[in-house]
Amino acid sequence: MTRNTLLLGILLLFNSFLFSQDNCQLSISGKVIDEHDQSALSFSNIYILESHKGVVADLNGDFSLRGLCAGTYQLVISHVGCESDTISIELKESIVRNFYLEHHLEELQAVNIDGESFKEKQSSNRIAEIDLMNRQSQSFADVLESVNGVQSLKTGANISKPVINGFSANRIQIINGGLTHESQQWGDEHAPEIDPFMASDYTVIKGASALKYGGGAFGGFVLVEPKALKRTAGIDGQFDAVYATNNRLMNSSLMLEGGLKKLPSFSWRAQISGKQSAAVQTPDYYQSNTATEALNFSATAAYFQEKWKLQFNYSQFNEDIGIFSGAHIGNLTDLRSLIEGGDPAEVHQENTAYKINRPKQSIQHESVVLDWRYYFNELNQLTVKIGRQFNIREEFDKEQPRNRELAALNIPEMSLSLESYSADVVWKHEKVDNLRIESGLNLRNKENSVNSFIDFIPDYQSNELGAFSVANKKLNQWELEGGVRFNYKVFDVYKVTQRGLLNYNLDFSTFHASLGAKRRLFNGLNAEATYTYSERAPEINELFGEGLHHGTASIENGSPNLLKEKMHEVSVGFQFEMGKLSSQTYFYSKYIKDFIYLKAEGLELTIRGAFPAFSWNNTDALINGIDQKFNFSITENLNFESNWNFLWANNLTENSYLIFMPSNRTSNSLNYRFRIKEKSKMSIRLGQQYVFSQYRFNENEEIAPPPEAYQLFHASVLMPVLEKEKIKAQLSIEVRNLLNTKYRDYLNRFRYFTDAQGRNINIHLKINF
Amino acid sequence: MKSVIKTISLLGVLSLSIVACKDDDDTSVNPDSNVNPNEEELITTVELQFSDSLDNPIDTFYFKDVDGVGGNDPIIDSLYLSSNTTYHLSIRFLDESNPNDVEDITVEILQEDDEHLVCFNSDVATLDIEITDSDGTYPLGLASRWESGIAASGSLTLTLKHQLGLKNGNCDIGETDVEVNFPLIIQ
Repeated sequence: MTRNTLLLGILLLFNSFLFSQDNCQLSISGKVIDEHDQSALSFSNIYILESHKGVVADLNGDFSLRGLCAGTYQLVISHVGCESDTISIELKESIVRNFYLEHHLEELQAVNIDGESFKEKQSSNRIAEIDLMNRQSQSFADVLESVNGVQSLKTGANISKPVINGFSANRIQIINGGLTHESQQWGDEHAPEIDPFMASDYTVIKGASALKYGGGAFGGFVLVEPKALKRTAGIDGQFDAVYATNNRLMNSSLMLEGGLKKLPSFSWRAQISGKQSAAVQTPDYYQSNTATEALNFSATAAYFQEKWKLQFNYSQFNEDIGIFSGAHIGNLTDLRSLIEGGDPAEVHQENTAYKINRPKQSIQHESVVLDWRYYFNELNQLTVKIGRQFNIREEFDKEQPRNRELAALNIPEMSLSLESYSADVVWKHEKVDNLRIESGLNLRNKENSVNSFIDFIPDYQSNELGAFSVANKKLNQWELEGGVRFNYKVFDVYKVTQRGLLNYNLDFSTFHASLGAKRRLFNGLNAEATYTYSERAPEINELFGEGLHHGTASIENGSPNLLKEKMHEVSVGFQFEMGKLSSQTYFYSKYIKDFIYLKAEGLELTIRGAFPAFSWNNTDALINGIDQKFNFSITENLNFESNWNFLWANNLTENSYLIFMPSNRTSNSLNYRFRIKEKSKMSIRLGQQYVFSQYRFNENEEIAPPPEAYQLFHASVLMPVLEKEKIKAQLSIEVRNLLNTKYRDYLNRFRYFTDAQGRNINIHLKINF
Repeated sequence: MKSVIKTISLLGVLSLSIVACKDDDDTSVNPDSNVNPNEEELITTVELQFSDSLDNPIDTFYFKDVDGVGGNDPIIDSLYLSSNTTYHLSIRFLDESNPNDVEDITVEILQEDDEHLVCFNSDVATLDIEITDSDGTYPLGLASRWESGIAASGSLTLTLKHQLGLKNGNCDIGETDVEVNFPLIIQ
């Protein structure tokens, strides 16, 4: 120990002595909790910097530090696998307080996935830093694609929606910062309105614990969480800057967060990001009019008290997306001649400016949440959450009205606004014998207004009431999980028809239950099994949607008499570790009674010619799949990872296939990681991806046969560039589609019109300070 | 006590900011109103008026789908023409979705004649069609001369193309606004 620290120690000692000559019997006790899933962090370390005194929490994360004098202390709280936190506490009387730690997402995760706890591996997956940095500038769904078993349904290169186990849109729910994301998610060309820079943590969850978030998400729930708030005084921040070569994308984000010295119970964060990109380049040409621009911002403020916590979040998402103009067609004849003609007629040979013309989408999403948590004691916690979301979707067709006065107004051909309110009350109760119960009520209200002549979906209001209870128990070698949920939903629909305005009132009750068990079979092998029963009420587009899709030259008709879907799902998972090899296997089988799908109804004659017509219908479906992941550590620094996804999706009633299901695929990577400084690691990755052709399709539903199989190569590097006191800078460079391969993907709705994006070099600089 | 007041005022500010957020501009369509700037320019009707060489009307045929896409099937007339006759055809495109306010889209097509082209395609060999109007450079197709030969039957496909910035006299480019098929009988 140097003289300086000794001196400082004496000073501090003197300081605390001054404050509290009379009372050195104070204590700090509480619990250390995982910020993300609220589970206790067993055996955490709590250390007082000033007195060099520390304790280790028990199995339940509980700790107690006694014999403290009044004064200000710096508490360092740490846990294996978490980022340690330093918290300043002004001690005047004995306090009970819970501490939250965040899972450390950086570095370790990429390779050390098999080092995660069993619980996390089961049905959730987190995204490695290198993937996050490589994809953050793309879109929310692109980031999520790095989770094994998640694909995306695309409309061109700029619009993508996540697909989990073959399900997307209405059968997936996104929980953004604790709030169920409400938008026009029924549309295949409606991407989730979430800024990938706002979140640090992406988790896909299924099974019983997912029931607390909602019901009817047959594919799963995607939890999107920002990192935990900073709890110390001063300002920290993060700056991101991205450039991508393919579409001259520029993206930057600034986040600042901090606490106030004078008001230590207060924390805040503010974030803003902006993005601009020009036309997307395929190996042979530029897709005309595929520029995008976005401006997103968010702010969070929280007030922490010993017994409660109040948090306020505001976020706004604004995006304009140019739609490839070669994909906008008048009728089936146009579409067929485009398919036969090979390369699209409307392309550029050079990159045009960052200008967005028609056709385009203009989207705004705003959300406000107020979250209040009350900790009765270490075992009981109450959460009350209210939220409001506002979503505006405007779609501009390629052609403007022929009437010049109307055209001059430049108004969207379709404009929808959706306003939603939510209120949630959740009670969390923990029993000492490793039993945890969570119960709650959810209220939802949605109102959709159509502000244009083209409606596609009508004006409606829906109200939904939900109640759930979820329990989790550890019992010797077993971990058991069970849950039930009941939802009641009412639709009040006003539809403009030839016969005037019609009012429909529909209501649906849905029931959900899930039971899961996991255990360690023997050393190196864990197994789990889950049964889930879930129901899904038809969504507004399935009931009342009506209109023509310009991109696919098809007519879609809703059916107000649809029955709700009923799913039985069995999933079995194995995690196996032997020496240098580890493997995770996940089998699932979902039988869906009255599965809602688009049934081909033949051709419908209109003044634009004949169009294939589809209507929403019930059928029985069976979906089976395997997600397999291998990890082999070749040396200490080099590992090989291999992912395989297989999916079979059948329409049992018609003895045919379900349309738009991901084809089988594999992705493999070699990861080389080495230490370049004492604390910094560098990683290099070579990736290969092979997507099989989808041969499970129905002739009468496809305008053109699914594209051929394709193979892509990627290479990326993640390296620290600066590490100086508080400042830490990292650089990632990724080359996607290294060989500039020309390909089309079955899950891209623009596969009829254009090749997919060619080689792209994405350079991302991240500075934490 | 002071901290309670602080907390309450904090809560007040937060709830205020929730209410004061982006207001929804409630411009939803009023179904009772006829005024709607967003109204799509629907084409519901194609009118074919045949006249003799002195412009005396002979016969008028229609393709009508007044309720637009979906709903009722369109009504399609069969074109009955006399053999060995010369006709002058004049075409109109109408929006009859609102019977009280029939709109003639042809006026707008004429205004933008350099972006539009009407094409004819028939499998009847004894019929000769020649477009007689133009946008100044390329044919337009709203007016045409038909010369029928001996009796025959088949069909005629009439297409209205929107060719913004693309028009070169060719029919297979651009976006299709109208594509209708009429039975055709020359007797």
